[in-house]
Amino acid sequence: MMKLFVFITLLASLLYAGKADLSTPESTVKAYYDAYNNADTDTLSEVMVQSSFDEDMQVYALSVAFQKPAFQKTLDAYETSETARKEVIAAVREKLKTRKKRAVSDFEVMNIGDDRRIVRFIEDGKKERQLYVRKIGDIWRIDYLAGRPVK
Amino acid sequence: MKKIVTAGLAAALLATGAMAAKGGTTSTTSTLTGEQLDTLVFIYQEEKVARDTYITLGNMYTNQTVFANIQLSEQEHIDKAEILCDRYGADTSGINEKKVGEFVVPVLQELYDTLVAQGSQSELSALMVGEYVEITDIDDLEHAAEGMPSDVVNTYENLKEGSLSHLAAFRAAIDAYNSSN
Repeated sequence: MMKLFVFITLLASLLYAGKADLSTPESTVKAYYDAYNNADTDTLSEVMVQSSFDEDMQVYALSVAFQKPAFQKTLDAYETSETARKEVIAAVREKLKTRKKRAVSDFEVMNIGDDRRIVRFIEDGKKERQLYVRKIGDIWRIDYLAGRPVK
Repeated sequence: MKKIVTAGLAAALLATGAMAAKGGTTSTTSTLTGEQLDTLVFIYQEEKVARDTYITLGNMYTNQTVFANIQLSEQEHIDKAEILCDRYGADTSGINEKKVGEFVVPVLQELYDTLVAQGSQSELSALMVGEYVEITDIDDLEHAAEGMPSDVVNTYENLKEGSLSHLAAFRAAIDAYNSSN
């Protein structure tokens, strides 16, 4: 079973390789921002582990829910209804199309374990940001739960 | 909105911190998995979102003491979460707790900005943001007990009582606002 899991993971990694560059922690963070700048939620779902992607979708949809109370029920059903999930992601995609693009620079990568890194960088020339990435197979993906050092 | 790190996990870890601070046993730490421990840094930052939201809205609507009162509770949570991060070697050096409204993780910045933007529209909207935050916390706690040791479940119940108290305070403030306007 484990060998099958590893095989599927590696196969998935190869399939993802052509879409976004997830080969290094820095390239993954750049891919994350590129996906947001292009309102590309499909690529975003590849750049992030599932739970982190779901977190982003629900947070970014919150402003939509505040403006449209009926959408709040859809958002509430995000984790239990595939239909609701797709509607939320679509709403986020529409919201991102009007959001100002953001640039990232000045990367610093901190090694906190064999399979995890903290990536610190500057957003739009002045804001200090950081993201956590986890190595899965041969690629790095955004994972909000990969911020704890493991030696 | 569902937090990926449920308040329930925070409860387990905060309980551990509280027990250690009082010189009690830390047997609950041995029941926490690596995945649960991985939540430490994100818990710490999520607690800051709630606290900072209440600080900012409280500064906007100074007549609403509910924000000041609940913000103290959130500060306690942050303090305990930081103790746990230190204990388990989770790096929080990139996070400046003193900078209200500033978050290094982009999605948490978005969450804070969204809550404050909504609350900025009116005093009533601000109170409803508080109500929303507490409802979300309670919902998370109610789902968090699955697979957890009994002492963690007990802690969830205590935290849920706290959130219910906060929720009642926000609802009372909303009722009072609607009665006078």
